[in-house]
Amino acid sequence: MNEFNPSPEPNLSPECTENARRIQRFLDGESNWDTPQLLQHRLTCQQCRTLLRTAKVLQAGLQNFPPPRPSPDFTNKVLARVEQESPRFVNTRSSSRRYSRYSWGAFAAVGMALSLFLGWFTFNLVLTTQVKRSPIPPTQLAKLSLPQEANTPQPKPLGEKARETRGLFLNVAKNRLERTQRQADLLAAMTPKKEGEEDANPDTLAEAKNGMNRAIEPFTGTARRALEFFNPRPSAPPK
Amino acid sequence: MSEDAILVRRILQGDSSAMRELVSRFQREVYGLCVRYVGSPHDAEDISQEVFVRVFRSLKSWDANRPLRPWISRIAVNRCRTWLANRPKRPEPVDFLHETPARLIEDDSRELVDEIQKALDLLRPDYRGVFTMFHEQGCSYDEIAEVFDRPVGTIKTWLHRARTEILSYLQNRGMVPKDESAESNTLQTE
Repeated sequence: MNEFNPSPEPNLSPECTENARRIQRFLDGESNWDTPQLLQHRLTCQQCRTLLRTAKVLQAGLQNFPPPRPSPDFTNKVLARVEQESPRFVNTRSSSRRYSRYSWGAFAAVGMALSLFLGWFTFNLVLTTQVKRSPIPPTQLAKLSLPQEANTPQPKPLGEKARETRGLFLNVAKNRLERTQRQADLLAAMTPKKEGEEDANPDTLAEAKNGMNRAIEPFTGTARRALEFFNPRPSAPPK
Repeated sequence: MSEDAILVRRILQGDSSAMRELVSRFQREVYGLCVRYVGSPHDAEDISQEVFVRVFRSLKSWDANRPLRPWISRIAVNRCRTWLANRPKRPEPVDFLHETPARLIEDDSRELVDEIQKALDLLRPDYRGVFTMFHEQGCSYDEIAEVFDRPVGTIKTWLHRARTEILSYLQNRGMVPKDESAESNTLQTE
């Protein structure tokens, strides 16, 4: 099959096929002349003669064939429908302006929201970073430590938690010391003194007295060691 | 700039008279193609209105370097195909010639026209569309190929088959005169 023999029939002779092809060109409106061979063939082939006459009838009929025409108000119907289904298209200029205005406004709103969000995020990020990085300066730490005697060495700066713990610890130690001192005084008052007899625990009492004077001396060994950890003191003077 | 491009530009600028002009210019072709395709004038008018709605919606995508008519015809063919695909299986026969205003024609010619119309109704829709575009609207093979999105050879094949079927139908209906004169048996076209 090809464009010159679109409908090949296996029983058609070459002359009949050529006749059909020329009839198609005839209906195409192309100039078309018979060859002597084709004229001769048609004289003997009724099928080809009939086909040619039919093509001429068809061509004549097509010249009188009425073209379909729409209703007189077709144009108005179309425009009404366009206005109904696509109202934006009716006034394309204003719709495009509206669209342009809306698009710029949308862009501006999105940009502003984005910049606000970024600013808030950045501010929070910077603030958090500064709080984490800033240590307590030594001068402030020194102010937080307990007052000490002039001759004693300055203790190491302590953390806040350590200071709280020492404070609590010292309060407890002080309370116990006071209670112990009262008990000792009471005992001394109740027990007659013997000649040459020394106090039962002179070191303890002495240390307690020293602790009272110094206000930081604990009573028990464990407490003392804890305090030395927090507040190392110089070596004790010889007795 | 071509006439079509000028017209489209006016339409896109919101000129309602240009819209009316476009519809007036192409309504016969669109309606003619639709009515041949679907067979019913009422349905063809609805489809034609849809075609123009789509045309106006898609005008921005039209290539100004190409003619407008094949582009509009393509939209019409696609809409007709969609309608045919969605319609019920058995279309109602419609006497097209009684409903369409036509020129005054003689009885013999009217009978021939009736038979040609019946033969067209029996054709495949695509064959019908190609036949209508070539013989009624005077479109070239290239234009028809662009509308149907097929090669030119395919369009020629479709058209030749349509003609062969119509010729066969007319022969079977006895519309061929028995004039066996020499003139009737020669082509001799100029």
